[in-house]
Amino acid sequence: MNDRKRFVGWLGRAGACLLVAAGIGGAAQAADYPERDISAVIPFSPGGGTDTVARAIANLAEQELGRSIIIQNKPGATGATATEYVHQQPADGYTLLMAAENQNLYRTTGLSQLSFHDFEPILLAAEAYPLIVVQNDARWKTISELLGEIDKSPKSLKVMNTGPVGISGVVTAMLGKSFNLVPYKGEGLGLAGLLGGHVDAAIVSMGAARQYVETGKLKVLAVVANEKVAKFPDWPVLGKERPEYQKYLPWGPYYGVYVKKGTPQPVVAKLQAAFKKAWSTDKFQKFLEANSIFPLGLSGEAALKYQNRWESVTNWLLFEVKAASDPSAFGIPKI
Amino acid sequence: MEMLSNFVVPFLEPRLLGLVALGTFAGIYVGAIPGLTVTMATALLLSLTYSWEMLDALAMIMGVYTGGVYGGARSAMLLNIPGAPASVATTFDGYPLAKRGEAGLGLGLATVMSVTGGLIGTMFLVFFAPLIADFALAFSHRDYFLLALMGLMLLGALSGGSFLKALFVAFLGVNIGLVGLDTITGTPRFTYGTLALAQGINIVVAILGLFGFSEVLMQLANRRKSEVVAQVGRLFPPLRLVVRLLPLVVRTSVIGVFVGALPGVGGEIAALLGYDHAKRTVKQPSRPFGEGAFEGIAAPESANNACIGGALVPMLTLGIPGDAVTAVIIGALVIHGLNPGPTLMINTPELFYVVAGSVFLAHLMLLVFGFLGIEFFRRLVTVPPGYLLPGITLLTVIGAYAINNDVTDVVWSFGFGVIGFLLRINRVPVAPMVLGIILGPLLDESFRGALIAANNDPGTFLLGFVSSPVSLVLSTVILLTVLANLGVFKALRRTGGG
Amino acid sequence: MILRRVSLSLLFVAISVFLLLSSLAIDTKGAAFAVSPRFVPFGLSIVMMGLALRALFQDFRSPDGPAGLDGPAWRSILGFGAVVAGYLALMGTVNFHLLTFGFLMAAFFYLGVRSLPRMALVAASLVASEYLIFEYAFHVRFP
Repeated sequence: MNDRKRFVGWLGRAGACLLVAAGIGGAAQAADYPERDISAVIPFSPGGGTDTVARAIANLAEQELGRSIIIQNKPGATGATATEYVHQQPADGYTLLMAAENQNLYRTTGLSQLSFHDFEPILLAAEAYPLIVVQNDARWKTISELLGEIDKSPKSLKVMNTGPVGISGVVTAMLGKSFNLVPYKGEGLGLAGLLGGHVDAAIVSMGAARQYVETGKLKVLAVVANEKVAKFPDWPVLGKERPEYQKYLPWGPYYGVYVKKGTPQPVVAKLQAAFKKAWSTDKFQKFLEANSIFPLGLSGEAALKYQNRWESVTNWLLFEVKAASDPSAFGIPKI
Repeated sequence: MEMLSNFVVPFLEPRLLGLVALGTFAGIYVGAIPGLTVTMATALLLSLTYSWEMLDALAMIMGVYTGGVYGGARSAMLLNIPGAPASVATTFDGYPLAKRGEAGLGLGLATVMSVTGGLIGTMFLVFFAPLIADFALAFSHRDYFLLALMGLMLLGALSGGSFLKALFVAFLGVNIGLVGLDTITGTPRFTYGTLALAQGINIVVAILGLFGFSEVLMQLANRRKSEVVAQVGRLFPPLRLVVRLLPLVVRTSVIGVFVGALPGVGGEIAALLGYDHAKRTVKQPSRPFGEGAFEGIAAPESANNACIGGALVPMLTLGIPGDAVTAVIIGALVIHGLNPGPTLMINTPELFYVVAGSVFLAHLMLLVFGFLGIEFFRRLVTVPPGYLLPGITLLTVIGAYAINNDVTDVVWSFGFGVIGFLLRINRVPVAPMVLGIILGPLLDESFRGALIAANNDPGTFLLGFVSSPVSLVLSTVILLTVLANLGVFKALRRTGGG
Repeated sequence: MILRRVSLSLLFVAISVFLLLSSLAIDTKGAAFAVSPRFVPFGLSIVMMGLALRALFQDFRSPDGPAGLDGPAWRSILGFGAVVAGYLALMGTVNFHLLTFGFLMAAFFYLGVRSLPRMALVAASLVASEYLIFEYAFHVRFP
């Protein structure tokens, strides 16, 4: 009798366990997550913009998650290698992609069939604004003077360019003038080119150029934005100087954290909470401010909306200058 | 005075002293293991030291940097596998020296010369940083192109039996270096539609195959003939030798400083140019170059350590990385909330001198640790092949894998091993191919960049070679070298084909 | 005999033809010829073809080629190559450290080491240092 009771009890418990496993398995999994260390793949070399932002936020987020986030750099093919790698891993939230904006461009540039639509944004952490800078004693006082000169004599001005899909490539496509684009292998080398007088102008992120402006080596012709930047009220902005560019703006590179699509929703939610908390710490905000990167803090619908707009604007701009194939072939609407 | 007091901070602060020592010690071993790079170690420290004080983190990173650049020489000499691209030039004479049973002396000499080069480099950093920064900024695409040409001229020295075949192999290397996405247009080259090739072929993977695995195959082929080198010889280089090499080492150190200061080129090119310089200027080397000449070890080893001081110049004065490692250090400064750039010197002058002081100190530590470790390392040459060959193979496998956590890279390194083996049994050296892979991207990008900057106009492009002072000097040097060696080139061509 | 003597330069000719064809397939993205991504690879492969043909001509005429390898040497290389190929092929299916241990034991044995305890000791210490340095300290995740 006693045995039977026990047996029934056991059956009941087993059934309950089964129910838990079947019905609310996701929740149980999320409650345990993370059970082991998480790996975070950075698609670029150590030391670059994406790398430093990723390391800064991962270091804070691991304190929230209670497990280490192991950083792996997998550079190559402007991040496509790392993107494919993360996509090959199981969708369990144990492999994060610490990406920049480049995934939006893989399909139209033929690098990979993947795009951010194959990933779930955890957090879009921050964005950078491009600056158009020239040497301090350059003959142009405003951006309009520079654009006027290039209208009069095309190809006469040398602009530093870090590649067709980099900041300078997209912004020159936006400006729509025929600059002589002199290639450089990165923002740092390009700035060295401008400081050495080998090019006339450079379009780089604010963090990279700010100090040269403050020390009087370079001057800002325009911040590529619609609104003045509160911290630098003296710097003219492109959208005000030349209203015809307003429709493309704001535009800038951004940094985000992703997991593969199909990751259980509770795991995503847990990651979102941890990264949002890391993002809102004083330490991270101060880090962003010190490097002139602007906080975004978007997740969920807001993140998707931001990305869709970015994808559309950039792909269509690059298509116009033949740096990318027709975006409509990939269902990217023109807005 | 204040500057000097900051410079000696790492010497007086026990905590910093300890961190520099620890970093240097670890760096030597990281550098000596092919596949572990200083860049990887620095990136790792970046995460580990996130919560540390900035100066503590920097002191340790400088130690690792210094030790790592030096450490590469060990595997280059003892196993004929450069621990890093910056040690490729060290294999040319280092490995033959070890084969002669003088591995100990080679390592000792490398230590002394690395330290000398490093200290000279640091002095340049401390006293001439702004001048060197101006020099680096004066370099345009055209000048980088000339620099790449100067590097290619080393081919004459490396050709071995047949100049024709060496040239072919070097150009093949250039094409291998160009595999992947073109940095200027983003166009894929030689990728045949695969993503694995779109990421390019990592130079370390190629080196591991061409030097490491091909060496295993060579030793297997000659197994019955080769005898184990039982002796490693003396350890400390005689003072007379050091004094005799000093003028050369000063010159190659200066080359190292200036090449290091150029953004985008680093120790590998500095060491190659240093070797080339030694080969051209030393008329009566201790032994013929390529057969264990002491000059052929002193020159690249001093150049690549002097490069550290040079690479720190654009990083500290302009916030622009001089090489891959300084790029990571800039990342460390950024994460610690210091925006590296021209204001770094103004806002935090102590940082500059503490960094310089740490590098100086690390080189002094190197002198101690360098000799301590040799005892252990030099025994590697006496390991019987039955254990050594599988060991080297394992090193090739995990080294190639660790670069990008990718099995494809392991397969590549074996492919390169087979290529290297086929070349070597036909008496064609593999070094020209590595030279090509190192210089290929620089050659391609700088040539096209220079032509684009001249608006695609050949006239403007050519005029630039005489109108810009830097280009004029570099072109004159190249022209004079070619003229001086014309006779040699002819002789080589006559004997070409073996 | 002639075939052996010219085999390397024949291979060089084949490589240069292959590179020439591949470089012609590079998309120029509408850039002018001399600054296009095709220019350097294309120009070099033409030069390489000239070099290869010249080397072929020289090798054809020169009386003595390289010494070449004898049968036992080839057998020893192919055998070791097979051990390594097995190691690579199994990578990702078995635990990496166990696999590495197995590979080392097989390779030691193949190269004529017969003292089992010493073999095991050396292999185990190599695997241990591989684990400690690469996996533990450097966070390398092996397949």
